[in-house]
Amino acid sequence: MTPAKPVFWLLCAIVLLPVAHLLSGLAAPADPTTWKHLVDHLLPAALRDSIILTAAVCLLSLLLGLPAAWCVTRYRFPGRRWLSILLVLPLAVPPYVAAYISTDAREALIPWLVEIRRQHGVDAYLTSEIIHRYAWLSAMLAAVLYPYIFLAARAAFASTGTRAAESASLLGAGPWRRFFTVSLPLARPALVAGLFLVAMETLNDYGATSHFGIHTLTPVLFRTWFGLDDLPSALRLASFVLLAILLLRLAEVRLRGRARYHQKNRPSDPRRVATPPRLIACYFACLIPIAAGFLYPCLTLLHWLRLASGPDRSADFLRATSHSIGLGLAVTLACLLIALPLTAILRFHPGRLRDAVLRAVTICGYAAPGAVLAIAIFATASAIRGIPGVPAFLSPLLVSGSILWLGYGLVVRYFTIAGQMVRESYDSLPRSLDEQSRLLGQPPFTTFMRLHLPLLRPTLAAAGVIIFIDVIKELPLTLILRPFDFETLGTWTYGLANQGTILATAAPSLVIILIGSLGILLVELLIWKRL
Amino acid sequence: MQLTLDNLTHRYPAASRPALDSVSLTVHSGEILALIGGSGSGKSTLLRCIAGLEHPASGKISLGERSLSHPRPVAPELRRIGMVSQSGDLFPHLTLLRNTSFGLRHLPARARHDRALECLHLVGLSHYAHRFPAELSGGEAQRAALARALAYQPDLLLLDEPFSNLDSILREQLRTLTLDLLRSLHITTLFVTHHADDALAAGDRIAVLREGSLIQCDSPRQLWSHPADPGVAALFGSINFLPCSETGRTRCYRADELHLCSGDRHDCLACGTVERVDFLGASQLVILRIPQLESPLRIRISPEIPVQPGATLGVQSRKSP
Repeated sequence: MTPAKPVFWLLCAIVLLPVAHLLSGLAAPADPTTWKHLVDHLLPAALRDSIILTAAVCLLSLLLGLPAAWCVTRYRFPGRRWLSILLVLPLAVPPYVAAYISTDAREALIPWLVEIRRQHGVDAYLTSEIIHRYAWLSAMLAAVLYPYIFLAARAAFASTGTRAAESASLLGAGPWRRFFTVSLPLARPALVAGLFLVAMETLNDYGATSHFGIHTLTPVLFRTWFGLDDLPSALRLASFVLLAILLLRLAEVRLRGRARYHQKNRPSDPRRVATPPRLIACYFACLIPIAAGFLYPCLTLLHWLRLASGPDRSADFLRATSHSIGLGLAVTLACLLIALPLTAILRFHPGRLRDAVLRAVTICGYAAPGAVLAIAIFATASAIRGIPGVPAFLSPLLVSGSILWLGYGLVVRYFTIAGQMVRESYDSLPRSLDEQSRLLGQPPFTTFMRLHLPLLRPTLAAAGVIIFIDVIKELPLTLILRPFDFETLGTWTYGLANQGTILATAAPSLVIILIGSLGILLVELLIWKRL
Repeated sequence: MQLTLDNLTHRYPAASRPALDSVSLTVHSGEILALIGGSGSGKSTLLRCIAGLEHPASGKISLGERSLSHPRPVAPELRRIGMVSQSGDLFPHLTLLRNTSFGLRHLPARARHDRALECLHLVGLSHYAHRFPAELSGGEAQRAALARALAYQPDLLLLDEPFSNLDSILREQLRTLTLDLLRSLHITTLFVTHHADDALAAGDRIAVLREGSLIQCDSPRQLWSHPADPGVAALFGSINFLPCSETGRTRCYRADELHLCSGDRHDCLACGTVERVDFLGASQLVILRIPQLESPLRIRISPEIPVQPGATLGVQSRKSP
């Protein structure tokens, strides 16, 4: 066995350990009273809320992302490339910030709710209030999550089905029929993947849902652990949630597994010049999502920034910013340093088992909502601390709530991005290049350094930027695992909103959005030529 | 340096038959051996086994005095074997000069540069030294790939259908350039192709593979005039099968070894109806349907001879009996 193979298994174990530990606790005992309370009262409502919210957010995201992707890939119109980039920017807005900025607009509707109560009674008022909260939360989440659908659909429409759509056109199919019978079915695998990401982000959210008082699974996990002070029940619930999501994820992978529609020879340009009515439709389809997901939050926050007053918090602000940036850089570096050797070892030592395990490793982290993963990390930390013979000098590091565990949790969560992107990029490099390098006398490590690393550089940069942005935005996992008095921009924003000083959230929110936007622009410009 | 293959067998997982079945072959020092065969005959697998990119199930591979397969397979980077494939496989992020000097890390920078430039000059690309592969045409990319392989000074050069992606004129030009270079540098070469004219023009000898087995290995003339079986003969052009009236055995004739005659002549081999006539420029191909035969005959004749579809004609042999 070469030394590369043990390294492969060790790295896989590092990433898989918390998830495996959590799943092993499926049958672990929990306090029967709390568990009964959970199953009888909290869980049914949480499941109902999660399903309704996820379905609504997915549907709205589709409505925002799909037409925009269709327009930028199928029509040629002034500003198309820039709109295509701007359409991704809402990803820089954390869902909890989107929830906070809707406060003003929601308050504007209060007189209308009061009127309903006056005319139709309390029951009608309560129903309207619930609908009102769901609608706002779904709309705000969709406005910042639709880019997952947009990116998936844009890639799919640009790379698949253009020839097939041309053939359909020559066979007399009109634009609507071409869209519904050719382009949309061919883009289905990508859309399913995009929808899965939207659903995961919705389930993962804590800040926005708790702000709106809607108790999906993540807030219920928080409540079980911190409110009911029952970690075993929270652990058990987290393992069930993780199992359900992993099964869903497997179903999603299976659903698109056989439906990989590749088109090797792309036609030179599938885009047509938009006629005036279509031009207007294109601008509408592109500008509405940008306005809802980016301009509205940014303008509101800028407005709040002008209004904000109070004690000078610049020292806290700078400390939170440096924590966020430091944590982001460390986690990004760690994710890339795990993803690169894992994929490289698989490249040089291909094997079915290694391939399957690496797939599992890249699925697990992102499939687990932040709160679930935080519980998994906490449980793993406790288990390791309990192992006899753990060196004493490690004990400060092994205490849960240390920065090490927070970093570890974030690495496990965001390794998926690095793993998948590096792997896809590796797969697109012809193996014959490796063979040539080796036939020219270069051993595997030199081949990796001289051939793979330079060719993977754009992907590594893109993956790094995406992970960095996600870490900066992350809330539930950081909230649970952070050491005492350790604030990031996300947790600080959440804290300020929780204290009711909503205007003070403007500055940290704007910094998060600014960092995210710069990163997204960088990634989009890296793939500019492919747009 | 001489390459010796001894009873080489290779089987891909889940394959019903071996990709290579006890292949024994010798390529003499400085010789160019053309390897020809249909799709799936095992040509590329044989090359990959020699290069160390596949590990044969059994058999021995030796290059000169050195065994490449025993006691354990030698890693590809230690074999000193160059390979040029169909697509050239140039490294897209490196200029031609850096591509060509990729395998010369053991040399000082100056010597590396000079050697790479010299090899690019050999293939007529020294003026493109600072271009990237994406800026080259198909023929230029193949020449650059050849320069890179030559710069490494391999003990054996493997050419895996290097000209098959090129048009016929460019293919012939590049073939001539490559062969002249290889002969002048006296490099032992195994050249895989499925084009009969490439094999006949390039090979000092030609080896024929079919379903993983070596069927025949001979000089081009010997192979042309005495193919081991009709299958080997068919690799070098259309083959017609006609029963011999005297011996009763079936004989095979190439398309240009038959000519047309009047159908009522007593010495004609067979008689039939012209089904189609294809004008091919320097010749025309007549498809003649013989009632007793399952497949029609394909006869290549001069374009000046007037032949009409539907005419009843006979065929005679140009071969000596």
